[in-house]
Amino acid sequence: MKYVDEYRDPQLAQQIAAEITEVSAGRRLKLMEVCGGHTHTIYKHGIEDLLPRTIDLVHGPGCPVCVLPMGRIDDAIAIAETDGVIFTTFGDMMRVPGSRGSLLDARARGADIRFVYSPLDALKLARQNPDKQVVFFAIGFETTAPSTAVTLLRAQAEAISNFSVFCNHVAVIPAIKAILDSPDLQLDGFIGPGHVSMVIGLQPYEFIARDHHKPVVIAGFEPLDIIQSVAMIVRQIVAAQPAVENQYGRVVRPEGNRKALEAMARTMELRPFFEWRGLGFINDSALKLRADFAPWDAELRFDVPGLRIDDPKACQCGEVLRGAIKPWECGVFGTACTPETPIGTCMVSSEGACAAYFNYGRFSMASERIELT
Amino acid sequence: MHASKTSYTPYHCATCADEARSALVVALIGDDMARVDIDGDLIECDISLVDAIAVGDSVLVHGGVAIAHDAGDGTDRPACTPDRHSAESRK
Repeated sequence: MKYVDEYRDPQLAQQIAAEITEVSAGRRLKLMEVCGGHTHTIYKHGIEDLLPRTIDLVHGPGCPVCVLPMGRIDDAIAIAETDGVIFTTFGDMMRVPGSRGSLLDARARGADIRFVYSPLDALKLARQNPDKQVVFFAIGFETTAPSTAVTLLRAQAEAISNFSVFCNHVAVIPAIKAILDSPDLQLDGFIGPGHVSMVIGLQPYEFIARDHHKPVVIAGFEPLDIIQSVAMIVRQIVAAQPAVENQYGRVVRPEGNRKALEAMARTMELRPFFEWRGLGFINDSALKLRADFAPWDAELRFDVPGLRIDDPKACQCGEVLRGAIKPWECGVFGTACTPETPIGTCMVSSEGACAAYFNYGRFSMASERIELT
Repeated sequence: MHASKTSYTPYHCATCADEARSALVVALIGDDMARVDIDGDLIECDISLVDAIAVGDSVLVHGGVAIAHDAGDGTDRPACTPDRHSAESRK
């Protein structure tokens, strides 16, 4: 496949892994991959098995499905069950459990809930159904927010009044700051999110190297991208020269995508605070619609409970999302909680650490690493 | 106007993974929209956020919107090609 095969060369992977072993020289290092897409690649391709056992990859909060608290699911269901509403959502959100079940359960009760690939599909539904209110469940980091912004701008330009957005977009930098401030996790470096970075650029990460003295390497999503990023981080650590480096130069530009940032700034602004599953309330960490776009704001148009809901007691998604425990250390992993019957969000999304480990990682040597820590 | 069809594997949800997919532009269809090929599936996507898109370009598409050129043509390929990697290793 074009642009893919050259990033899956097993011999080259072994070569870089050998270099990592040599350069790291037995140092025990804990590196966090922030992005759920990276978690997926790591488990799917068995990358942990290639690395020296002294290098531990910790899975971060970069799966937007996983970090959404249960209260927001309940809010979504409340909107979806409003008379006259067509509620649209990305696929994985359908199965995420709230306190009253999932959106799939709500659909079984009679709500008109539909899967869409793009918010533009939801806008199309609004054009086709002028007698209905079409609501789009917007979630995701800065990779996804531009598509919501473009859709809002089109809705405004066309004066489509029966369309609105339930906005749950979050920002990656505040989450990284919260992790850096977390007392129970000492990290040595970050594998930075590639596609978020093609929107926001490299500058927002500079504080991590400058103030926290941790390396950051923005990485692509193929196996060699990840392995090479680990090599770059290890070289920075050994040289004691933390910096922000860009491994994903074929896509990520240092300045990001200015048009996407401008579209987001025109339509959305930071919320004063927002709850993240596992990380709690984080200031200035999520987006809401600007006042100019109030007519398209589902939270203003519909009644939502707006309640904070505790996670199920058996579920340890919070610790998994903070990197405090590995998926298999959760008491219900693979028993009561599986991809078919998920209790927590990390088992719902394929990019969630628990689902990725369940699907790909159960036979890896990763579990043996715990003996070394 | 906007196709819902995707070709993603069962264990990969690109919509919520914050991971965009590489697509080949096969036609510009007006109103800042293009028809693109993602692994054999044709979808229509918004191209208003990326400059100078032409037929034959590779772009990264997320949620039905192109958000970057995919310059995976070797011109700025990262250092995981053997020569460059070896050169860096010697530094």
